[in-house]
Amino acid sequence: MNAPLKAGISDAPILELEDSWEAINAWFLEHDLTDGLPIVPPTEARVAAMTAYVERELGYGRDDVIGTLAPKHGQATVQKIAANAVMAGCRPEYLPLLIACVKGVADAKFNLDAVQTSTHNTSPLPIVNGPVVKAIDLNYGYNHTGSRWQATSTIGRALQLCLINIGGTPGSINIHTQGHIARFEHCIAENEDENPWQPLHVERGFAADTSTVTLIPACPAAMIDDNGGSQTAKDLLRTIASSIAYVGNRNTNGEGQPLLILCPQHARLLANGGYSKAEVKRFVWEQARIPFGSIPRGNLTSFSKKLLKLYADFDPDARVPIADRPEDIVIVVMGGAGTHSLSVQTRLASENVTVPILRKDGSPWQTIS
Amino acid sequence: MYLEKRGVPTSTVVSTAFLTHGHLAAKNLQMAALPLLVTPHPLNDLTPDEVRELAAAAYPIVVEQLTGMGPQEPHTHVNFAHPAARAGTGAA
Repeated sequence: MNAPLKAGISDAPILELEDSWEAINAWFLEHDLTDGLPIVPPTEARVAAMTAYVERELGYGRDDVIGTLAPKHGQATVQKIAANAVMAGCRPEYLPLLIACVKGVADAKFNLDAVQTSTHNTSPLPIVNGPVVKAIDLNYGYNHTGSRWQATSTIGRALQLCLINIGGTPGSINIHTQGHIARFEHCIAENEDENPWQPLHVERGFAADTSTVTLIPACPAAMIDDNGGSQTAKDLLRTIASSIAYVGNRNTNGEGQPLLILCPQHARLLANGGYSKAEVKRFVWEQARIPFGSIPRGNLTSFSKKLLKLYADFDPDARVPIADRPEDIVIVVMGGAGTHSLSVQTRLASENVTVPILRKDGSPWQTIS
Repeated sequence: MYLEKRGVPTSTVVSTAFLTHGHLAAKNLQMAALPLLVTPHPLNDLTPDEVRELAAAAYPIVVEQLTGMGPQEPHTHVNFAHPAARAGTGAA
């Protein structure tokens, strides 16, 4: 038998396990500390390499608390985040982004407790902007929500493992009715090169060279297939607007922040047609609507009181928007070639949160070493 | 739970789907013994009359939990069967 291998794990003393990949993975599986896939054993040396990188790059010590994760109210220290990052297969240079992701989901506005414990099929979706995207080679082109991209896959997975192991309690979290494939990993980046408008972080007031991550309480995406390829911006706007709103879209209940992921060709067609991003949002807000009368009365029990006040007992043909205000709609440009965009409904009572990647002293992190 | 910690008695209502979460949430906030009142799940398909029936069945438990006058179990199920689960409906 091999010598015992020391493994560092959050909230636990140093474990001494048999030095075999199989034994370590069996132990983690048995203790509900994984997503079901094999993990990289979080040995002291591997975790220390992560925390040393963070200390050098960001100035955070390993015991610094980045946030508190619901529902367990677990304290997400740098070391615990690092352990989960090792398990997910991250490289040390992914940690500044992962730490920002944790900060985002821990923000009270994100309402992580509800995201984690409700039956909604929702999962935190990090959308990354700024120089970090290229520095750590995040995918923003073809198959950006998919697989086969180390940074994209492992950072998304590490965030989910943090939610399981720091914020979660087995049996308490992930009782989503069917769940969300994004619970394995979800982390995408904006295609800033092909975005004809300001990227999301600049739109939100950050410098272009500040890296940020925006956490979206995202439900499974629905493809908007424009496979004929709209020839004009107006045709495309009509296609998009008529593909978003439906009774079963949670955002028709009001006051959410739906996400529209435009492929580069679609964004280009709209921009060349003279539409700013704000105008696209306004068009979608005005046109992506359903008649109030088409919503079965029983479904109105969870309808926004604010919108009920405006639309109930008025005119059954009055058309209900998918957000309270046009600016609540989030638009980003992502993906490769093709004429397919994505409509993502979001959880109500959870707001998206944009977090800049900062050093502990508050200055933006801009170097990769 | 915050009210309980401040000495104000509470009766915390959860449906069966959220019972595990309710216990764990209470434990996480250092109130593992918080008494829970458990209803069937789901609730959102009950008619107003069925909700009244459920409330009437729950009332004595709420009183017991607020006054400490009854058995203080970790959780107490309301004696109310969801209509879909009642005999003769064909539902499980």
